[in-house]
Amino acid sequence: MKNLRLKAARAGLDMSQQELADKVGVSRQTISAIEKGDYNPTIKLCIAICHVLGKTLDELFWSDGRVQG
Amino acid sequence: MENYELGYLIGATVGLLIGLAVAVPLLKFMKKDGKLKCKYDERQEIVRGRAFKYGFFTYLVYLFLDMIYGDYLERVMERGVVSFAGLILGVVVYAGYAIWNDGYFSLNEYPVRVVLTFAVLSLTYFAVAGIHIFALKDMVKHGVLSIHAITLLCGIMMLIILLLVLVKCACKKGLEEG
Repeated sequence: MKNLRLKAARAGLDMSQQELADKVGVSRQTISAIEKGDYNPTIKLCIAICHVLGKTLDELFWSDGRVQG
Repeated sequence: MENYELGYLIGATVGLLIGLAVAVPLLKFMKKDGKLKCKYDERQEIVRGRAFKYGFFTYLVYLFLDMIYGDYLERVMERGVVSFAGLILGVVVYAGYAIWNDGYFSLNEYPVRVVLTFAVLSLTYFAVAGIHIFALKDMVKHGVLSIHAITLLCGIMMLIILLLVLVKCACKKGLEEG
């Protein structure tokens, strides 16, 4: 399942995938895979992304009790 | 120990040391932080784990087939070449999967420098193979590919990996930012 919330949060800060990847410490392709729903990040990576984007885990990765890829 | 064997051992050891002396600075040159160790993120580690698995099992299958058909293969290439071809196949499968799934280049590597190094290595291998084919004329002995064919195999391996990287880059260009 695509993670549009992550994409929107990133776009809201006018941040490219590469910029987010650099700040989180992963590759751009990993950020892309998470947004496309091709990869489920670990909780550690989820927290790191939330920290950079200033969002909570619920806002980016959880919705209606379902995990957003 | 015969003089030939001693000479071969000394030559191989010296060659190995020279190889290390060249490889270590080259590996550092390809890194953004100048270190030898590669850093991968969690997704890349998973991809690389799968790539190693597929490469390993490819090599196992090759060994099995070599067990059955090895005698026939030795009619066209020496034993050393037959064995090395399996390693090459395993490496190509591993590298191909890792490249295609964005798990090959580490976070602290300059991809362009790595690709350039591959290109230079490939050309070097082909140049040495060319010397064996055209100058020394010892690539084929008694109608069988000699051990010198390993150089040619290495060149082909580097070229395949290089082409995979270029094709992946070309496919990726239109897919940036999802």
